[in-house]
Amino acid sequence: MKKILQLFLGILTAIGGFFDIGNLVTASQAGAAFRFQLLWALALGTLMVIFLVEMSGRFAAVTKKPIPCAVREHLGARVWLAPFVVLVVLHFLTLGAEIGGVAFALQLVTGISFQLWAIPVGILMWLFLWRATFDAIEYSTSTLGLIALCFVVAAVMYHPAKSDVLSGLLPSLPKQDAAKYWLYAVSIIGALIAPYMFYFYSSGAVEDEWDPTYLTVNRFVSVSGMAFGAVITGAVIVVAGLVLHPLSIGVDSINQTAFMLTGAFPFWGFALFAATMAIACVGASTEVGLSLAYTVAQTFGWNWGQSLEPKKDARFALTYTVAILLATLLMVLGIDPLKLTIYTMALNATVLPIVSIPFLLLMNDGHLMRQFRNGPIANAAAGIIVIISIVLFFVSIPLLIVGG
Amino acid sequence: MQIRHWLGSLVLVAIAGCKSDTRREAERVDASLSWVATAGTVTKGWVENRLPVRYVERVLGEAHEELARNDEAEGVRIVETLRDAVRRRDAAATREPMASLLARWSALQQRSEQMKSQ
Repeated sequence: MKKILQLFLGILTAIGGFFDIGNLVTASQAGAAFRFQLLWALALGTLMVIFLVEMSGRFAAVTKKPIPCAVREHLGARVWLAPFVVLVVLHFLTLGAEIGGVAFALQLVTGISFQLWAIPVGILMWLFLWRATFDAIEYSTSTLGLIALCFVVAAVMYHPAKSDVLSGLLPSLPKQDAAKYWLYAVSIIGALIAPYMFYFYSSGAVEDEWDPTYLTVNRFVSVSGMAFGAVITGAVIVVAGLVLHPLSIGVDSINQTAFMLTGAFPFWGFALFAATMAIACVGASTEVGLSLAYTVAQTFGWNWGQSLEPKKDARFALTYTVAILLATLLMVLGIDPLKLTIYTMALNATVLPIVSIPFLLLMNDGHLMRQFRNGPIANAAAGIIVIISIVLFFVSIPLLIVGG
Repeated sequence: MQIRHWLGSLVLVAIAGCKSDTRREAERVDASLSWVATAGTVTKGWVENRLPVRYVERVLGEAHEELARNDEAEGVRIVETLRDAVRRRDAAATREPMASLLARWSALQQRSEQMKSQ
């Protein structure tokens, strides 16, 4: 019974935790510019993230060790140095974008500048992390995050042609704006496989004391949670493709996306959009803040755990405190959350090989993973992930320059 | 050798960053088209009571700024009229500028398609 409850909560967490400002922005841009043509990038990214999340959960359940500790212990501190630096920078930028997302949602509703909102948002975020336990954070934000299902309802209510949606799932070449097309494809994948996602998932599994009996739960959660989450992101592409694309509206500002739901929900559409954006970004920013603190604490061997009182893991708590303060400052200084999101998502794609290859190597370590190490299917998927991530490493930055 | 490698990379990045005049013009037209459509959509949303007035005012301000940046004088003029009407909370006064905005949108759309087919 406990496992069934955990399965349900896990799927809920995965759905709610999947959707954030990165998915919202990249999916809106893709739908607005290329209608449904980039749905294949979402499908590809989802398959990749399902495998990575499943592996990170399996790794935590079998070894009971977080990824940073294991990489440091088994591959050496030097191997972990580059992924560590990259992860800290990326977590920080993502945290800034998510705090900016919450502040921007509040600006939509109140008309007060997001720069002013960033300060109370940062303080509330910190208080939430300081006071709440891991489960409270995980389940409250994820349950509220289900509000994002309004995009799925809207997509159904707008009656897209099924054949058009299905044909978008097949990769196709762009008729024009090739650089922009590939940049958006890379950004969608970058938003889906944000490294914080599988590092957070793995640390959460260690906090929840998973053991090999949780492997079935892990498999169901990673497959169904990520797949349902992808359906929400796909719905954003469809809604943007049906509302913004026919009017030739490109997404150069988040303001240009806020009316996407008003055709389906005339009086609630705007409020639903703002609420979805705020809740999704609150959920993601708590996860990113924690994931950053986990990564730093696990790297240096400090006490860590959101279920501990801050006085028992002071350096862990100090890490997320400083990160939230600095990320809030980014927004106070007036950095555009949309631009920050676009750059961060492209960077996510760029650094994927650096952060994923050491972990994928450990998944094949028979001494560490015993009979639970990667089988042929998981290894084939890992091989494809590595190849795609190396391609992304080389193309992301040039695409950002040419297509951005 | 290393300096030459870095210089080569910089040149490649600079080439990639340089845009032809035609491409720049196409981007200018597309950006204007996008903001003209945005201004029209949010104003319609306000008239139909679907969008809050403060949001609409903010978006019209942003559209005005972006259209001015893209030298879209006609669009700037129409959006100014719309802003005044919204500021006065006069929904009826948006009718005429909305019609002009639609005409401008069609003209920009045609221009954008022409540029893409070239």
